[in-house]
Amino acid sequence: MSQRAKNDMESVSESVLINHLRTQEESLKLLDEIDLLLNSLYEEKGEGFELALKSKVRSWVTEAIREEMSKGVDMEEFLKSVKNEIASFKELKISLAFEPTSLSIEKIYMQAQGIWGRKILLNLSYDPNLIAGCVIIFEGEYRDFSLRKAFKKEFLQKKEQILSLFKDYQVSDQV
Amino acid sequence: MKDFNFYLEQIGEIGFTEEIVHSIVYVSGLPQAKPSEVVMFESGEIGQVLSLGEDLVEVLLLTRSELRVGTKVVRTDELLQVPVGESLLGRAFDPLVKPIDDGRLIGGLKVSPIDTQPHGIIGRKQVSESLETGVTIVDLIIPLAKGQRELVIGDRKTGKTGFLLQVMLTQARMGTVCIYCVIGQRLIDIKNRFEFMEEMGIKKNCLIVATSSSDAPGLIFLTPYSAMTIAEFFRDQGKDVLLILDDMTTHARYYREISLLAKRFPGRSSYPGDIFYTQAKLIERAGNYKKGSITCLPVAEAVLGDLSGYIQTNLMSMTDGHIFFDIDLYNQGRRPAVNPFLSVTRSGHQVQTFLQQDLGRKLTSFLVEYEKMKEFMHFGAEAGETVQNVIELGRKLDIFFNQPLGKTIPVNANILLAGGLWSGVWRGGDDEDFKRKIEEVILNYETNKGYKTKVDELIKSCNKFTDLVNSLRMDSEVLGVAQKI
Repeated sequence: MSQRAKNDMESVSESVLINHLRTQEESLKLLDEIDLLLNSLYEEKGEGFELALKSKVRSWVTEAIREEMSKGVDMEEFLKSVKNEIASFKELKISLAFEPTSLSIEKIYMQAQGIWGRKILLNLSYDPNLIAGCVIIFEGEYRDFSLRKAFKKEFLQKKEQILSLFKDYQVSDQV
Repeated sequence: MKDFNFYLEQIGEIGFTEEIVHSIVYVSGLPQAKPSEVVMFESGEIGQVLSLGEDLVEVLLLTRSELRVGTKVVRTDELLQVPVGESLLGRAFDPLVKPIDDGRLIGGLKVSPIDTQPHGIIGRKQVSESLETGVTIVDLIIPLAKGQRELVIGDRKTGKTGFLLQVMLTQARMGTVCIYCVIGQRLIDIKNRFEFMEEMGIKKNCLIVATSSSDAPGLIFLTPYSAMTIAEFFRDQGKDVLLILDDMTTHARYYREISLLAKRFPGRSSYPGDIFYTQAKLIERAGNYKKGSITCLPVAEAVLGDLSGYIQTNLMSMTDGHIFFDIDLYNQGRRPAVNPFLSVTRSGHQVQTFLQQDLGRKLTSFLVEYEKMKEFMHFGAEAGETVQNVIELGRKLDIFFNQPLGKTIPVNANILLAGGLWSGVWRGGDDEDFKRKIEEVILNYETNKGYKTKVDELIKSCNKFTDLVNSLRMDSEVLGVAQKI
């Protein structure tokens, strides 16, 4: 690989656009914006791109793009390579028993990055049936760390004891 | 099989449905999936892994249901297995042994893998016993042996199914386990087969493995493999099994559909390149073994009598002969419409007695002569005495070979009647009278034990057909003809 190509790849991966991404949802939104910008590159006699930057994409995306433009990169190549970079990211699905705040998402992302590296995107879902804990799916591997599973396991092992407790409770309730 | 959550926890892998193309589903995830492994969907459907792509696993759905993109999938870490056991007898079910008759679940079963390698040569042995079909023309001219694979080929509506049911009736009455495999046909046809078994009282030795044309292509594709697995179970119990696969051309068509959907490169007539292997590995599992035998009668449909079709010639090369049902003979009123000149048996003759072989040769050569004489007569030429005798005997043979559906005739009764025809005891008589005499002999043979023993001993004592003919000329009492010749 040539030095220039290597530099380009590093430039893309270090780009603010990529660094900003945490979740799958964010990446899909960014991909939509990139598609919009790509389509606008040759519209309105070359003015379409500027128009799109001003009014059709989010402000932080506009700033990141302008930063890259100031470095003199070929915009079409750059946007395509950002798309390819995002496509190479792996998805980490996490089902939680609560709806996370942005701070929680950031913490989870940092933890995940420490384990699996930079190239991951979180796909978070809310499932109150888990009671507590989480379910993690990554590259086809499934791990259930929820309290629901723990309760189920406990119930299976001590089924008779728990049922007899319920019966005693019912009887005392009637009395 | 356990449920979805069990496998999810046990195996710890999950996949998601990404794309659905009719009966082929593309699944992401499942990193350790193996070819032919069974996978289970969240909704309870099952599928089989067809192939492993770079990012996606290709799964063949075995149920016809509405799946959605995003449905979760788990591996079961098992290959497809079929429950087998004695309690399958008398029942009708699908390839996964779900009952399709009165709905009672079948219990007391163990499982056996559906797709196994055919046995090597060590466990096999030469065919040694004849398989009586109860159909005169087949038993005398195109005999079958236990462990033989004989293709039944012909146009639609030429009596192939009727013939197969006659064979099943004869063999079931002799204690052979009979498995009728219906592949992608109409539900009413499946019902008719089942009712035939019930009416004839042979349910206890028979079973039906069936899929209708409305079932999932994946399930239809598995039908003959499931039937063969069940046949192997009974073979391993030391029993003789008759397996009818009706029909293999439909099976090939469904496999073509699956392969084209799975984007396999189409070959001749758009069939996949491995169509021969797919059907050969099934047919090769039948045969004569030291433990028992599996006699396989695969059925193939021809179009306007064309035996040179792709699937038809494939099947002919995999089997030990074929019985050809001729549409022209059927239209002439012959029942069964078996064409003895275009039918072949590669193993049947070696298990016959010398008498039967001699009779078969004489009948075949006589039929050739008869056909020539019939053509000669078309020109309206005056027929001499020899020609007239040949025509007369040929006509009586046509009546003799004509056999209604549901009627089976023991082979020794057939030999006796053939001997009687050759001896000339029924020469010059009325056709109706001749039919009646045949019926009498058959009825006597089937109901009168003493008569049966007498006939069996007579046949056993004759080494050649001429010996039998001469004995009958000397004493035709056994044929119910009072006058001695």
